[in-house]
Amino acid sequence: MKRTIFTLLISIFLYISSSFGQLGVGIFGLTKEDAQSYSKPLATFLGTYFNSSTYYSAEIPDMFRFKFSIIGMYSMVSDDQKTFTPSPIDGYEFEPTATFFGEKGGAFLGPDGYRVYPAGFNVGSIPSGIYQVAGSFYGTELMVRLFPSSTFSEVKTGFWGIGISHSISRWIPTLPLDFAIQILYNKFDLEYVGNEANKYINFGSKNFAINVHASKTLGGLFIVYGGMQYESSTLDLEYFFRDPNELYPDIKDTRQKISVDGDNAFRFTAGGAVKLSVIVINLDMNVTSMFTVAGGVSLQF
Amino acid sequence: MKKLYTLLLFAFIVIAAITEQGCDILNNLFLDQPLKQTIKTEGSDNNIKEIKTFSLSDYDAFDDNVESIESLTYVSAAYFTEDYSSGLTGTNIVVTLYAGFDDSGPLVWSVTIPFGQASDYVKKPYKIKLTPDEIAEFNRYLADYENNDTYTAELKVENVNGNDPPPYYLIGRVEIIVQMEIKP
Repeated sequence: MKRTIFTLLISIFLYISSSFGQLGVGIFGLTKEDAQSYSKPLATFLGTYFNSSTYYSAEIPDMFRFKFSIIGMYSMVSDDQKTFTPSPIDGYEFEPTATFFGEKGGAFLGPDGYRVYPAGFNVGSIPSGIYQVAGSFYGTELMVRLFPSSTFSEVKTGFWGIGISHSISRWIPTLPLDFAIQILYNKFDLEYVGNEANKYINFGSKNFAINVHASKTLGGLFIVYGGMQYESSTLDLEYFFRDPNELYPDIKDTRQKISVDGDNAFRFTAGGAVKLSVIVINLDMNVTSMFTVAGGVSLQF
Repeated sequence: MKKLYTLLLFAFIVIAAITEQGCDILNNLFLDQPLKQTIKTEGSDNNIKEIKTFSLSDYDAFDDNVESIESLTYVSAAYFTEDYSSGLTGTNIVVTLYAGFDDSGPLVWSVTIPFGQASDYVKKPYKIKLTPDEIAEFNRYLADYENNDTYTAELKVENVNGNDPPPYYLIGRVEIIVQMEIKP
């Protein structure tokens, strides 16, 4: 059983890693400015992904409690996150071209020749999954997400995340709802470690969030919850620049570094959960830069 | 406890199924690859011409993805003049593409570009317009990229003359954009 579960977890994480590893296919030909625009929606997605589904109740007991959760998410990519207009260059008339999530790349003819921009992966929604464990005591909960840094094929990847929640309502027992605050930080790294220098890509995603959330347990069985969250995300990216357009000989075959801030800012969450003995099943909607539906199954005792 | 394991396993399978479906949502990727060839044609004859041979596998993006290519198709092409001998005149510039290692290979397409002033196409591209038949023929060769990796571009200037005595020369650049459809 443990082996099966472990295999499934590995599969989930490898899918995520391999998908993002595809970023290199497109970004190798982009200058820093255009690479930032191309990958910005990816930074936003990572911020959305890592800051999702971090609670389904604001009730944090004084007694010890353990939780293990498996979470599935479905994030929607809006049309404006699928295109960007390249940085202006004299003599070229640029039109919107694909971001990482977009469809067709553009080929623009001008005085220096064609400038070709990469296509994206043409996705309108992104399913994903993650797992986490949490333990609480005295109204404070520590949540941990971890995938140890590991090398698969030519990609080294790993992530860790931590979240701390504290019950506000334990200090104000007269409140009709349970309230809690939560602070989160997640970090995800992926690096090409193969021998081909022109395939090098390395990115680190750092994601921060702080929220206030509230919940009401009805009949000991149903939980209604919601919250407001401020969140931010940064994607540090280093990639090999190939200059396929043969227009930047000075930086051809060099590594370029950029830092991209995602469009994450505020998130509003509303959802519900059902407690079945030690199992909790929850589902919530998240209004944020990428509208996300998240659901989970938790073992809680 | 057995029921609990079953439920947990079910949850894992659901998420694995979602993520497996996630692989399917990564649609094929369309990458445009510029094929740029600079050719110097030089001589003292009435018509001067030169050829240059290149291979698709010379290009990193093609080479990296060759095993995942679903299709390869022509997108567009352009001609530029980079340099020319003093006072160069002529009647036409002819750009021709052959399949294979030299100009004895099968003709893929050929375009005749009007020669007005020698400077006409310096920093001002001439957009090459292929006929539907030429595009279809080119795409036929591109589709069989495993057997048609190498092409030969020819640059010819007809009825050349100039301010100085021969030899005359013209350096031209042909840019061809082909699109690779790649499995994610």
